[in-house]
Amino acid sequence: MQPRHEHFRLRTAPNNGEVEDDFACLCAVADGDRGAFERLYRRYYERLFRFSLRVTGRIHLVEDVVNETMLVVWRQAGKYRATAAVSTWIFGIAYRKSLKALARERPNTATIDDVPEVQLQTLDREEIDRDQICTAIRQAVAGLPAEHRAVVDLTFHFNCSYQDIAQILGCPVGTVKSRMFYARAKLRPLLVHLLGD
Amino acid sequence: MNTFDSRNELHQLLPWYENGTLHADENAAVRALLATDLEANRQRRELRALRDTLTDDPTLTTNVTLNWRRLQARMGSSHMITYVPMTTHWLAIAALAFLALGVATFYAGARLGPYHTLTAPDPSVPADVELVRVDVVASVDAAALARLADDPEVHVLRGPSDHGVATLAVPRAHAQQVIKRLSADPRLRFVAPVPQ
Repeated sequence: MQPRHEHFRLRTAPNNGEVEDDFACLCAVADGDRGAFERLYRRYYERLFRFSLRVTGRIHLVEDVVNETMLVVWRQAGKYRATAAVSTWIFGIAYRKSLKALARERPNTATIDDVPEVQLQTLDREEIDRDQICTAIRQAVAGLPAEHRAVVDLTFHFNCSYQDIAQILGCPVGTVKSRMFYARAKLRPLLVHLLGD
Repeated sequence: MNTFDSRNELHQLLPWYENGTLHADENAAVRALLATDLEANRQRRELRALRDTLTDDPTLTTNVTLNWRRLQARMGSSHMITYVPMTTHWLAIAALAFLALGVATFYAGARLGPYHTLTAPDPSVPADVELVRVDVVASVDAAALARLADDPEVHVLRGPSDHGVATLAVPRAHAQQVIKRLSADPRLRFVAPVPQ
């Protein structure tokens, strides 16, 4: 297996060495090397944990989602075809597992239109300190539909390009941009307040 | 990408300008926009505030080793799932469907019971009687058919059916005359002895 699309790399990977090592690990995992799989597991555990937590917003689901994701990696490493970076492939699996876990937990998932815009104009700016607004922003992001929240978090928390995000979410890049646009529109009142504009 | 359709398209790239993942040409185009566009600068400030808020994440407490052990228990001794191509699945499904159809047809036929074919002799007919099958027009009923045969020993055994098919029992000695007589009548489209 040789990686064919070098530009599809999660920016969360600190350097090229780790990307190459991911690929070497996955090749070994495909051959049934449990040691290589443990290295891959420990390397990705925290990132997948944070990502799944942000997509689901449910701490009690996250450990299972991470293990379900890595079980797929263990069983299907031989099917990886290097059309994306290893990290993008693994995050894509984690995203789908997170959505499934969320759907089991809460079958009727809200859409972006169901999310009310946050309004703080009723309060004086001096009455709300910066921490309160930051908390409100985090809560507002957590209240977005999972698909929109994933775009926001992959962009700002995991430093993914929009092409990477499209691969992880399995959607066109135009959809990634529009989800970001609508998510920002929902968050704008809080951000305006935070900046004091 | 060397050209951009509109400022809106460049505005949409601002989040990825902020996280530093745009290609060089996209990066240059957004930088040029920021040099002249106040709205883009305002959006950039918002995005920075959002990024700073989201990256200021509380520390997570989770036990990697414990979860690794849990996963190991689920991994078992086997490694890869044997890959079965989808065509194999479809062939298996088609075979099962075919088998189910065959079984259903067999039992449906069994429930209908035995049936007579046009060539099957009726075992209850005496040896000196010839069976004659006729096809009559709709206006001819059994009584009219008996009259057309013009023979007191001819009996209508079955029919006429909805399709006009009837079976007559004719004494073998008179069979040829009766067939000839009936064949001459325009209200009968078909007259023939049933093969024995």
